[in-house]
Parts: sequence; structure tokens; C-alpha cells
Amino acid sequence: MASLPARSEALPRRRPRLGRQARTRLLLTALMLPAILCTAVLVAWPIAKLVQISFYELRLAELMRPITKPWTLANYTAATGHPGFVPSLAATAVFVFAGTAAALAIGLATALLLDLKLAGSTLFQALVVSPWSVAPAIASLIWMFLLNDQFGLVNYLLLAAGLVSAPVPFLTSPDVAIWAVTFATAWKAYPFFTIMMLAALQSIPHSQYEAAMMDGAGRIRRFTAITLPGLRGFLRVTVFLGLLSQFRNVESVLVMTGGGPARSTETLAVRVYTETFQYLSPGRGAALGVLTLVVAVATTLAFLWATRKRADI
Amino acid sequence: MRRSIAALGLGLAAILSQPLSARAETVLDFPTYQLEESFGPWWRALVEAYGQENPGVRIKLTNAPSNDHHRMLTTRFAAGNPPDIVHMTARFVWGYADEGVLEPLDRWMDKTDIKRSWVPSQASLSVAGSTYGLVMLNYGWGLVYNEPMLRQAGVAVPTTEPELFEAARKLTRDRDADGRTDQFGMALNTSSSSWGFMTFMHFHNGRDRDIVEGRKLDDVAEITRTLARIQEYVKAGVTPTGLDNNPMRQLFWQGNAAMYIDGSWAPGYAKRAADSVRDGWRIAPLPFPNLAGGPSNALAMPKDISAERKELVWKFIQMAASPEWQRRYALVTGNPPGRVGSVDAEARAKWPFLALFEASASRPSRSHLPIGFENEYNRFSSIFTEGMTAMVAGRLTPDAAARQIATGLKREIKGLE
Repeated sequence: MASLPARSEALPRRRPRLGRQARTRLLLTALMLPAILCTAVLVAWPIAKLVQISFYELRLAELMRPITKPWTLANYTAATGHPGFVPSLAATAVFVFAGTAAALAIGLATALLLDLKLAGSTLFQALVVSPWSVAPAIASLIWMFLLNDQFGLVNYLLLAAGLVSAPVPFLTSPDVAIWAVTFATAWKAYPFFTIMMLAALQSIPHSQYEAAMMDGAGRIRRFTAITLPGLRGFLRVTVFLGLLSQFRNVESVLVMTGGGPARSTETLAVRVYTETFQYLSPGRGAALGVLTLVVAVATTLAFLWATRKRADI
Repeated sequence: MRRSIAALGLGLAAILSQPLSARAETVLDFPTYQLEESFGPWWRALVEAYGQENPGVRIKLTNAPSNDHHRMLTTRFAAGNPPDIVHMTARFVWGYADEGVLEPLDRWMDKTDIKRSWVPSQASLSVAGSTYGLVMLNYGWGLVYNEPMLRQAGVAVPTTEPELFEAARKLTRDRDADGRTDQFGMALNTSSSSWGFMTFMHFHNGRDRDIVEGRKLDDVAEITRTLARIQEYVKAGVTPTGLDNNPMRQLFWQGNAAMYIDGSWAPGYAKRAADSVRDGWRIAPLPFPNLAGGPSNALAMPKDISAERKELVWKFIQMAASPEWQRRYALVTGNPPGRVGSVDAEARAKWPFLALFEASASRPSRSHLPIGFENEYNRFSSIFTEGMTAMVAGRLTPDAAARQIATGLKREIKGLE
């Protein structure tokens, strides 16, 4: 018995063991660290730099050097005071909301069709998803040729069917061009909605439909009472991602119209591009970039807030 | 064991020797947007010859479409990582010089005959007394026309602008009598791209007017007059509206337009022409008393590279500017090079319309550039085409478009009166 204290003194002090939960948390943090670092370097730093540049009148050669000039709001004043600013906000609203709505509508319709598992559905599935595999610039080029008022297939078909008496100036009329470009981007974007909606549809238990049918519910009632509520969570995430994607879409407009005619398709993202890369005004481009970011974040947060409220109800 | 060590040693030596030899070679980065065009073979040959003349120096030649190329240049300049050899559309030269990313070339150029032997527009590539580029090509314009179409309609090749309009009217036809025009007399670029602005300048310079003179924008009444003339072509239905360059060229070379205005590179499109056009196309001098002159594209040097690299880049520019390579430029590309007098009999025999473009390019002309505000060219052309496309689409009258353009330009461009 006398040896016991001596033995306990000889043993090294054991550190208190981490609990299983704490160890899991540590492991998860370690696993997430590369992603956090990547996000910090590739997202947070460029955004911080963008915000910084927007407050200075810098030349291209000065962007990556220590800034010695005084800060100014001149870029924001110039960007928001430009007569094209409000029209470009309007063009952005049409492009983002109508584009996402159209992509959602086509995506939901095609997902419902695919969910019916009709004969030849595998081929149909491949066809439906194919626009997704086309590069955005190529998709825009395809639509630019299809919608051309001189040799475009769409006008040829419309004229041949007698639906119009003269070619429709899809890309050369300021009243039509924004809708044409919006539709073209929706065509490129809808397969993402199809896939997400199809996954959501397949996660709804079939027993719910069977029970509803036994209760005498018709197709429309089953769609509104079972399908739509089942899709709600997926819809929220998909529309959120779709909105963000549409906000930052610049190549489709640039390829199809370059922002014209008469600046009718000049979205905020296109203005950022034009100011920075065409007019070589990085400060003003950065200010517009920050404003675009604010509008995009505010819109998507408003959407998330609105849809969460509805889900709670 | 010894064998294993020896093998390991050999392997290591092989691996280490690779980067050592690579390090001994200097690689000059040279992106361009002209490799896929008729200029490509000349650039490739020049780069190869430079490599042979300069052992240990290799030029990495890459290609990108024009818009992507210039976007890449801007990004690389902003990041402080420019290419060694800068090739660009001339309208970017003043902007980049103004942004402080280009090196003045005078200390090298002044030791050569370039400034004395070049097309007049070479002098325009300077900002505050320093030269920032070497003109590779000066704009030379022509009226590309379909000779059988003109003959069939009994129309002579126009030599004045009113004749051009009349010819375009007579050549516009509904060939299959379905009530729609399927042969346009003229294909004019009235798009919102910078080439839409060039259409305006063809007509405005063609009326013997510059758009800016002595830092003063031309009168609204004069701008209105030019816009109104373009609108007459649109209203008469002799040209489709909103055409950009590609559809404009497609319309002509596929046999659906009788005439269009293009630069000295136009013959390069003939190989893609429809059978009915391939033998019938011709080029005539542009029927305007004055032309929209100015530099088309230029070679330059970035500021942010080492002095050693700058010397190597200058060697390349000097080689491109040498009489021999300028002669080859005309022969291989069919375009009149920057060095005056470089087009020889061989090139003229190979390219029947080269003499015409040569005369056009070296003829004293008005400038398509807003003189004194060249660094704002892109903003200038954008504000112009905004008004012009609105007019062409029927949203604005020529007068309203001209007033909108003048107000926009004076608001956006500091110092423009």
C-alpha cells in the first residue's frame, strides 16, 4: 500500500481526453479548413479588393500597388448619376427575374414529364439535359444565329407558318432584345432546374399520392397538395442559386447583343464589364460591381426571407 | 546496391538538367487575335525567324478572339503580369498609354527610319509627345461589290455617295416575289459595336468632317445630317437594320447583298463565299471624297517587364518593321503594311486589289478617331452607337439622336466642348 503514492508520482500526467463529439468537431473543422482558406483567398480577398478599388480613382497600373491617393465617392456618384444606371437596373430586373422564372417553369414542366417515366424517357432525359452541356458562349452564339432576322431559323419558321408578315428583329429592336436574350439564357439554365426538381419529385413518398387518390383527390389537387409542398425546399434552394447565377451572367448578353441596341440589354453586370474592360475605368467598374453585389445579395436575402416565412405558415 | 545508386543518380541528373536548360531559354509571351485570320501565316513565320536569329530566345505565340484578347490584356496589365509583346487593336493604345502600362518606344524608334518611313497615322500613336506603338496596318477601305448583280441591274459602280445610295436602291430586290426583300443593295453595320461607329465615321469623314476638331465636338446639326443620311438607307430598306460585321459580311458573301464597305482584309473572305459570288466580287474605291483613316492595329511594349526583356521585345518589333518583313506582310496577307512603299509587283500580282487599298491607306484622309480624346475612343463609340441604334430602331429622330449623343459625350468626356 505504501508504494501506491510513489507509483502515481512516477506516472506522466494524462491530458483529459476529448469527448467523441469534440473530436468529431475538430476533425470536421480540419477538413473544412482548405475550403475556408480557398474561400478566403478566392472570394473574400477579391471582394475586399473590389470594395477598396471602388473608393479610389486609380489607373490600371496602380491597382496592385500600395494606394497613396485619397479615398473618394466619385466612382459611386458617377456610376449612380449616369443616365444609363436606372435603365440598367430595369434591364437587370427583367433579365434576372424573368430569366429565372422561365427556367423554373421549363425545368418544372420537363421534370414532371420525366417523372412520368414514359417510354423513351432515357432519350428524352438526355435531350432535356443537353443544353446544360453547352458552354454559355456557344449557347449564346447558337441563339444569336437562330434569332437573326435575316437568316435565322426562328424567323424562317415564323414566316413559313404565316405567324408574322415580316422578320421579327429579335436582337436589333430595343423593345424585343432584352426578352430574346433572357429567353436564351433561360434555355441554357433550365436543365439545372429539371435535375433538381426531378430529384425532389422522386423524394416524395408514393404512398402520399396513393392515399390522396383513395380519398378521391384529382390530378390538380394532388399537385397542389402533395407535389408543390414536397418541392418547396428544393425550389427555394434552386431559385436562390438560379437568381445568383443570372445576376452574374455577362457572357450571354455580350455575345448576343453587346448590351445594345440602344443599351436596352445593358444589365448591371454588362456595365461592370464595359466600364472596366472597354472604358478602362477600374474604379467606376468596381463601384458598379459593389452595387451589383449589394443588389444581388439584397434580392436573394429578400427571397430567402419571403420563402421561409411562407414555409413557416 | 551500387547499380541502384548509380541509376538513381542518373535519374536525378536527368530531372535536374531539364529545368536548367529550360532556365537558360528566355520565353517571350506573345498573345494575338490574328492567328486565325489571313495575318496568321505572317506572324508565325516572323516568330520562327526571330527564334532562329536569337538562339536562346523563344516566342510563345498564342491566339484568342479579339474581345477575349483585349479583356485578357487589360486583366494582365491590371495584375502587373503583362505579356512581353503587346499586340492590340489601335483604339486601345491611347487608353493603355493613359493608364500608364505601356513603355514609350521613342528611345529605340528614334534610332531607326520608322518615323520617316511609316504611314501618316503612325504619328497619331503618341501621347504627350511619346510614341507607344508601331502601326502594323493602316485602315484602307474599299467598296466590295457583286459585279454580276450590278450588271444585271444596269448599275454603274458608284463614285459618289449619292450614286451609292441610288445604286443601293436599284439593287434592292425581292427575287422570289414573296413580298420580302431577299437581295439588299447595301449591307451597312448599324450595330452597337465599335464598327457601328465606324459606319457613322465613313459617312461623316466622307462628308469631309472630323468628329472632334480643336477639342470641340462637331456641331449637332452636322452630326444630325450624317445620321439622317444613314437613316435614309435604313428607311429605304436597302440595308437590314442592326447588322454587325459578321452578318454583314455573311449577307454579301452568301449573295444576299450587292455592296458593303470593308477593309483591306476583305479578299480573305472570298474563299468562304457562295459559288455565285466567288468569281463575281470586285472592290472599288470608296465613293467618298474623304476616308475614315487611322491605324487599325499596333505592336507595343509593356512597362512592367525587365530592361533585358524590353531589349528583346524591341528586337522583335524592329524585325517586324524591317523592309523585308514589311514586304512579306503585303505578299502573305494581301494588306498594305505600315512601311510606305513595301508593296512590290509580286504582291500586286497575287492580290489584285492591294494597290487600291494601298492608295486608300496612304492617302491623306480624315480620322475616324476623336482627335485629342483617343484614349476615350471606346466610351466615345459606345455613346455614339447608343444614339445611332436608337435612331435605326425608330426610337429617336436623327436630330434627337444627335442631341443625345452630344449631351452624353460632353457629360462623360472631360474637356470635350
